[in-house]
Amino acid sequence: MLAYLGRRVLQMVPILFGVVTIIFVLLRLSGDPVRLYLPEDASEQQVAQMRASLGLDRPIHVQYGIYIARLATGDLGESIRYRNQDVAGIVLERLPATLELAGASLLVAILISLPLGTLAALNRNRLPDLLSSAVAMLGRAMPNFWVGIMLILFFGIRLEWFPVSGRNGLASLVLPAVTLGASMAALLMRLVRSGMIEVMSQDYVRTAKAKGLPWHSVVVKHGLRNALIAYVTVLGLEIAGLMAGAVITEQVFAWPGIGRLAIQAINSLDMAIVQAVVILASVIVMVANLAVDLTYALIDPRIRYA
Amino acid sequence: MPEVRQPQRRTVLQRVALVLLGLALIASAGAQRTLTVAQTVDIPGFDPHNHGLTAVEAVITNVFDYLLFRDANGDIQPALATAYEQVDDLTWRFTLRDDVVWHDGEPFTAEDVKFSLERVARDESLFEHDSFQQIAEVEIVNDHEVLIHTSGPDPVLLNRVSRKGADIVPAHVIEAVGWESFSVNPVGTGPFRFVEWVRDDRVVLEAFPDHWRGAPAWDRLVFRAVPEDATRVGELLTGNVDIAVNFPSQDVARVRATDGADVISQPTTRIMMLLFNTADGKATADPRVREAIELAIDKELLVEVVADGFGVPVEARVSPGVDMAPMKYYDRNAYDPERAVELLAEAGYGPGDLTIALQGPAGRYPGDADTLAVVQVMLNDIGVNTTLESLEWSAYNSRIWGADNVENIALIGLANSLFDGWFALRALPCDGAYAKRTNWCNPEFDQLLADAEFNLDLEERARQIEAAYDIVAEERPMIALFQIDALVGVSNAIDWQPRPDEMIWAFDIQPK
Amino acid sequence: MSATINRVPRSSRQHRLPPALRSLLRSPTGSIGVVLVTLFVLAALFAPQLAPFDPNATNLRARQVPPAWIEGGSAQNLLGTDQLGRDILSRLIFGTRVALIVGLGGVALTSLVGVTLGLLAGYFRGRVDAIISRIIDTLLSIPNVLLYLVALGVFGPSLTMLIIVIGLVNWTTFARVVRGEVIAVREREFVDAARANGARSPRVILKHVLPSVSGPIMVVGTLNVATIIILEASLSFLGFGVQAPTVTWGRMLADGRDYLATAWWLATFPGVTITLLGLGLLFLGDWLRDLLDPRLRGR
Repeated sequence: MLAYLGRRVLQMVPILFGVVTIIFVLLRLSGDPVRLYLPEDASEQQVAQMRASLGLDRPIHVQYGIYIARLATGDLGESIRYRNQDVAGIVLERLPATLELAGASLLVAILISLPLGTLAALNRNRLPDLLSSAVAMLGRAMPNFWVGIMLILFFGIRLEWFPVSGRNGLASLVLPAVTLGASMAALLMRLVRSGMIEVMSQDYVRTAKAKGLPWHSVVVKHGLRNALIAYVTVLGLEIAGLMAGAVITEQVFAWPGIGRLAIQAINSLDMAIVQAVVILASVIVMVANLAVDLTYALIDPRIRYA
Repeated sequence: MPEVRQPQRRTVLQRVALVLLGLALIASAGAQRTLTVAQTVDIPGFDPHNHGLTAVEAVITNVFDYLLFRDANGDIQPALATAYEQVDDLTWRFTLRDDVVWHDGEPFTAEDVKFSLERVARDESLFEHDSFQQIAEVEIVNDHEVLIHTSGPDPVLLNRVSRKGADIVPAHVIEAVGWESFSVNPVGTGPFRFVEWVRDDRVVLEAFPDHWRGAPAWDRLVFRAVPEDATRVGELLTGNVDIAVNFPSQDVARVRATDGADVISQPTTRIMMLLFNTADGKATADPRVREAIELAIDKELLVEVVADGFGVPVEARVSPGVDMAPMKYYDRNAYDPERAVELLAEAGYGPGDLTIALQGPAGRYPGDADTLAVVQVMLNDIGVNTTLESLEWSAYNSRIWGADNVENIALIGLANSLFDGWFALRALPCDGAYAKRTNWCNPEFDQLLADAEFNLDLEERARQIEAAYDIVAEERPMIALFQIDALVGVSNAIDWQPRPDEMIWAFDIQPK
Repeated sequence: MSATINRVPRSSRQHRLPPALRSLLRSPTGSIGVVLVTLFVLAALFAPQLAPFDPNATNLRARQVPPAWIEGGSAQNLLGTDQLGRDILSRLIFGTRVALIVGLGGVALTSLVGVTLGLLAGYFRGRVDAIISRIIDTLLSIPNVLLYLVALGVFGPSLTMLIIVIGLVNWTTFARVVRGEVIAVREREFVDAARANGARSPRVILKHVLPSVSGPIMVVGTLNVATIIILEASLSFLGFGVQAPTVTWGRMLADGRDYLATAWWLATFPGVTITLLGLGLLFLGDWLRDLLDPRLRGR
């Protein structure tokens, strides 16, 4: 097991390297950040001076070498917007907000998908099944930022039940979490349903049915285990999608997480911050994938990693 | 049994005591007066020489002081300096206050002035450097007197030391802890002292009782970053904030109809302008075409549509409070579509003969994309074909504006942080920042600006600058559309008039 | 004694519709999907004829007019007007063009890249497969929105560039599906080859792979169009999509955001439209899955 872990961690390194390089090259090619920070009528001399002092006048490969060398020592570079401040600190400070949003969204997704998926499975091809199917479809067809805007319109502006932006206690978490969680729920509902249905076709359930025993509870109990496997599977596949969804949701609700930070940084070509956020996000995704695989081993004793 | 009862009695007493304590705390907290301001952006840090944004200065101006400070009318008043005197062409003497202490208790001295101004004047990597490089040296005469030496005669030195970037910072603190630490934990001489900064959420300041002007009327000052327009409006209406800046013009009527708050409009120095590419062969090369374009735009209707009337049509980059800006160009709308068509005909263009490209940013200034769309309609009305390109700011800046890649017309919004008319024209000379965009070069204009730059005879300088403005108005390398009003939502529980320099100077704000 | 000849009874012959059509008629959601998608395609093709106004025609005297069924609305602007007086319905109709161009173009490029790389990875295995799989892992560990934003920042947010960038980022699902198919077929072929003791050329393997791959590709492709359309809307919403004056639903949503309290219809209808097209595509995709690849059918 330890050898497996070690191998997986080692595999992360080249991927991380690839991620860093792709983003670095794209950012350096996307234009001149200096002008974005100076007033619109800044002189050529001022622009050149600023560019030199930020180290941006050197050729790309030199800048890349310097960046990688610093990265190896844990130095994430200099932010243009947050001068003289530690980039890693800035990004890590914003991480809890995103984790909070992601966690709450997952909770919402589970709370929606578990009962609805179970209901659908137990009432297969009857009304509840079709309805939940329709809801799941709708969830996948609606752009999640539009869902957020509509929630803001109804629950924030019209009914004034919840705050519509910012991070200010539990109430302000509700709308963003529901927005992000609803799209996940749509995905998960089908999985819960098929997991339950698979269980329902098992021998022990048929036996219970034939004997007239309460087969519903048997299905639910074993179905939950299947659902758990399904959730874990989806988590692994969708963690990157969850982070991407968080980026947009954070923008809609002005939620101060790393997604919002990244968009601000991209808009102002604050390269060090963008790079730091992407690195962090990739690490999270890879660690989450690893955790998923390990959880499989825990849940299903048949799986063993060498 | 006694052992059981006694603990119960003690517990009851404890509970009562706790409740009383709690009530006392609540009462004392209630007595604490907090002023809350909602802004659109958060500060990037407390380094006053390195942010470049008016919105950020509006916050940190409460923590620091300058040598001189503008009052609510825009006039320059003494602050850390009680008196000033121009000794000769290149030297100014400033007498400093002797009763000022830093937030950490240390006394303020001339050493701090030297440290602050020389840093921003010499360190090329600072964003504010460009506006202070005219200062060559700050000489300490004694603890409360300095001589500022400028590299050339500087008619606007007083403007310089009273604007953002001229904040005075404590030498002893920064030499001890460095800028990295100071940026997140500042020490100043201002009426409010730093408590905490939650990034992208809020800045919390508390009153500094030993401030040299006296203690402010507020115990706490909180600046919250609320980027969403609708939320800022909502927070003002619910009373969660007392001031909401950058108020959306479409919500003004709604808020004014309520009892709790009002929306006050304040002219800013920012003017929306169109820059022309006058190079030969371009559609906008002919000055008659440029004049026709200006005459085709009904600037009053433009302000009505784009800003709900909160702005003033102008014919040059002028606004109230800016020295040496010829105000004859203020509040002028030369809308004359018939004359515009005539001019086009004189230039050889009938209806449909001319095609003009309009380029501008979207989301950078309030109503920018809409402004360009309305201008497009107005040009179409005089028979000019148009194409439109509204790009996101970083794309616009890197592809068009900053890349000197203007086809015919480019939209931009320009502010004047130095409050000086010369400053407004400094990008237009033959070797100026806009030369490659406008391809306009007028040696007479250049001469006027060169003469005025170091001219200490303020009357003559004003005449030279006006003459330069006249040339620009005549030849139109750029035309001005309208001056933007800042809309600030203000709770009726406080007594305050927004300032023309857009600073949120809490010391002047009083509870009603 | 006469041999039994299988004769198809006359009644059956008349009912011999193509199996696809029969399946469609039997599936209510499939039919709805086809109808919806067809409507949108027609809207895109005939936008100038269908739309009552020019989508960029401003009418400064009729700004923020509510939809026709609300007080203050008029039958002239069925779904109301925006802050510059432009007709919402016309803008929605013209927005279909961008949505479908980006959707179809994006899927075309995506499947081209994905199928090619998937074929290479599955056929050659070994080093090639390892490299391609690494690339897939790398692309998948970056939250895709950030990658799009940064890439669009480089290449400029135009229609062509958007399609190219989508094609270059979005291909991973296709590649994986095709790779899996190729590997499966290859196994079979090698088993057969071992049996027949003959050599199997890549062309033969391709001949077996492409048919079995085309089904899943069509299914994944249809669903992918929906994903891409929503992606384009998201990018436009963030300001990085196709720029004005081209009308896109995402941009309309972004503009409408500022007017939620005063003109809610600006932000509502574009979202409804995106959802409808998305639903149509999802229904269509599900029906295609049932039709083409019974293995993938949900139980």
